[in-house]
Amino acid sequence: MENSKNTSDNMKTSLLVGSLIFLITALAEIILGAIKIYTDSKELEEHWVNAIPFPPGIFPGLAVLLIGLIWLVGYFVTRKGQNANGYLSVGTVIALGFILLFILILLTDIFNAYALGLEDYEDWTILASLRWIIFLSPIPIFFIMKYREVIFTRKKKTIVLQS
Amino acid sequence: MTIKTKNIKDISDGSKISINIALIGNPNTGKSTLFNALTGLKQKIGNWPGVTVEKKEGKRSFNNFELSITDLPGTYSLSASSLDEQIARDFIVHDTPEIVVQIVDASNLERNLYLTSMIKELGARVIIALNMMDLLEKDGSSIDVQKLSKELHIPIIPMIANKKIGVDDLENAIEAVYQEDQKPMGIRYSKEVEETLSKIQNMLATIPSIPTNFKLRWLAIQILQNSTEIPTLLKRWNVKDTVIGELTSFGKEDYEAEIIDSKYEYISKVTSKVWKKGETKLTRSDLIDKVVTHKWLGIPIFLLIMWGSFQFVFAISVPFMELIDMLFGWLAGLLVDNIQIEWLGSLLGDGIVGGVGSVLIFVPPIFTMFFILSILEDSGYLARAAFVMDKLMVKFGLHGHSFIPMLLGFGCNVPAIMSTRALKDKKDRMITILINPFMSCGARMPVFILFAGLFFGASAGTVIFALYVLGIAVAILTAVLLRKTFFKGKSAPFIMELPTYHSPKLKAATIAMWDKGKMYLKKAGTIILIGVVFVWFLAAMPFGGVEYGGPDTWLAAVGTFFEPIFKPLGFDWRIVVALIVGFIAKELVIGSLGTIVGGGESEEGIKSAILADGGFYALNSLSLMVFTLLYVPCAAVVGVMKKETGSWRWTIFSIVYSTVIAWLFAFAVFQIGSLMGFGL
Ligand SMILES: Nc1nc2c(ncn2[C@@H]2O[C@H](COP(=O)(O)OP(=O)(O)OP(=O)(O)O)[C@@H](O)[C@H]2O)c(=O)[nH]1
Ligand SMILES: [Mg+2]
Repeated sequence: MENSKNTSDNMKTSLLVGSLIFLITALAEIILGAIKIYTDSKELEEHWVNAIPFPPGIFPGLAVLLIGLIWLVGYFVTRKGQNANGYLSVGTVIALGFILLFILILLTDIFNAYALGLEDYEDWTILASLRWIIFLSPIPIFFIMKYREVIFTRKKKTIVLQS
Repeated sequence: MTIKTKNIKDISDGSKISINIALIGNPNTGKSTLFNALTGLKQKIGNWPGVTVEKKEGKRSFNNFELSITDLPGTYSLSASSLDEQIARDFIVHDTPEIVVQIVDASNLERNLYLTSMIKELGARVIIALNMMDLLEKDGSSIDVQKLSKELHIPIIPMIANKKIGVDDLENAIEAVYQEDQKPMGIRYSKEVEETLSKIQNMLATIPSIPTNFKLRWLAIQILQNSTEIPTLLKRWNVKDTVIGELTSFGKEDYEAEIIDSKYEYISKVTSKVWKKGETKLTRSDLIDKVVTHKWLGIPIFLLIMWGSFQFVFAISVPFMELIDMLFGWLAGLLVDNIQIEWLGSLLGDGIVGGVGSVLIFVPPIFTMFFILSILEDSGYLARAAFVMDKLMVKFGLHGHSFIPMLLGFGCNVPAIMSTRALKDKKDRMITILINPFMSCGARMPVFILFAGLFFGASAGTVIFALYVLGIAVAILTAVLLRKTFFKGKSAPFIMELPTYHSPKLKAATIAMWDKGKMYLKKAGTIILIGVVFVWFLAAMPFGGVEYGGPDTWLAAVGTFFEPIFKPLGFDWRIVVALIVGFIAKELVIGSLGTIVGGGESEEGIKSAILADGGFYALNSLSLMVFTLLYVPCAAVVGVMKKETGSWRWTIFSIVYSTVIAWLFAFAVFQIGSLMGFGL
């Protein structure tokens, strides 16, 4: 797992690009999410935010924001020449965790709506449960593939004890 | 039949030899894991120090031996400066186990051996279980086990307790050690100290009342070190005051320093002979810790993970809850409609099925929640969360080491309050106990899930998250308040050892989930059942003519009596009654509402019944949730609080304080919400 100059340069770029994409998306989602809550409370159904097919949310946006921040701090750490593997790993694992979580929520929503036919789901469409972070999944997936050794531990050796 | 003899050869009639064994060791070294592997019991284990706070006994037999094994709280020394250390120390001195198995964390050899030196001083026969060999290996380090064993005169069994590797080898070692005496460790003190020690020993030897299980050399060393408990011990043995005075006059600070230094010196000499360190590089754990305990990122990451956890709990459990709710709704309707004796149908349908059923609906979210907590705990993350929050607490002038009890409170406040025994400082401990009830336990979840789910739709998870955060915030503010008023003083210095990360085991998490969740099920069959029958009874009385759960019942009389106090919070008499009954156990808040509103009325269960009722809406349910979060802990918590604080005054203070705080917060929520136009 020697970090040659080349791979650490790669990682630096990855962290920067990844974090910028996440941060910009996050800001957009949080702002639009806030507008949406405002229009909901005033019952302005015709408002243009409601025309966005994938509804923005403040909290999901905050999740995206934090992941972006973790990578951004990681980027600055690499600039100081220090090891940023932890930032890359933690950000990526959290990102994947949330992507899986929102996919799971999507699936249970489908189940609730079509299999159980719950009343709450009368106006629900699949689009309403497609969180923005799901569309960002190529980035963490790319990180996982490219930096597999950094993110996962090497395969465990079986240990034989002798006493 | 059991015979206590020292020599195995004495026994030829085939009866079992019973041996008492103590498991001792530094915190978080795997004692309870080994205990479980040996006994097949399910003692709680967790990836942080201070999990076990009370001793626990289990059995194992092999060949002709019947082992009675005791798991003890973790301890760094035997000086007994905190309650759980004292439990460990007293066990060795008073219960005189034949063999002490010390669990040593192989990746932390030197510090662990310090404890070994003290155990040996007590005269115990010791076996070292050299645990966490996998972590040592991962680190690239190695220990020459045979050489270490020779140096210390102690048998050493390498082990990976959580994979049960090496556990069986312990049996042979026990059999061998049981049959022979052990040489003491080779710690040598200066001539002066040794001479004084033998002088004291000679004096002690003339006192016949000293029980034989106290090694005179150990007592002598304690006397030299000015140990504060020596006078007490000597008094207990009716030693004359003059003799006590003479003995204690031997104690000197210089001696104490020398004794400690000699031990450390000896140990580091031995360690350096047997231990080879792997090349130092930042481990994976270190790299991850840099991020999750980062000074700005740490707390947001913790909050985000909490938020995500509630989303997960909701997503997984909603479909199951719907199904269970429909089932009980159908069952209740069936009973009410088909049982000819009207009161019996109502008791079974409205009372028992409506009440207990409405509690059972929440089994899925509660189990899911416990599952996630176990996963987070076992991975080692929760200890980091505690670390980060503790750092924040220290900034407020509070003590570290208190957030773990608070995190445990997310499960149940009773064991959480007991876990504060690991805190050394008495004031720190009092504060930590008194703020614990604000941490939202599993029993409060049903109220949150029901009302957030009904009135906050897709934001339900976020609402619950906000309630938990509110609980933490009120706890911290209360701690600051207590520190500034009743418990002034500086807190003990803050060092925390972070456990190593490992990938959580699905099986372990499932077992932990079941263990914690079981309590909830058990309560549903006992205390909740009794509670709802009681509520049903009051809701049906006086007999004849009154509408069940209507305004003319006895229950309504109780509720309306208190209603004025709660009117400003938006509660009608039924909520008031539910909250009063909820003092017995917080599940009963939902249980009683289920009984009163009546699962039996509607074919579709408690959710629809509440929606159809009209007495519940978003704002008053929010204020109800806030009140439930903060108000008086349940009867069990009051009991354990009395026991652990040893004071009725503080227990009653806690009851009154939390109820007043709950009222104020719920009042603020309801009134501000009404002003903003969110009222009915
Ligand atoms: N990697 C590794 N982990 C282990 C081993 N043995 C136990 N553990 C883990 O270490 C953690 C602590 O285990 P416990 O058994 O609770 O430790 P304890 O000594 O009883 O701790 P206290 O009661 O808090 O003093 C748990 O997460 C175990 O799963 C081992 O051999 N290797
Ligand atoms: Mg333990």
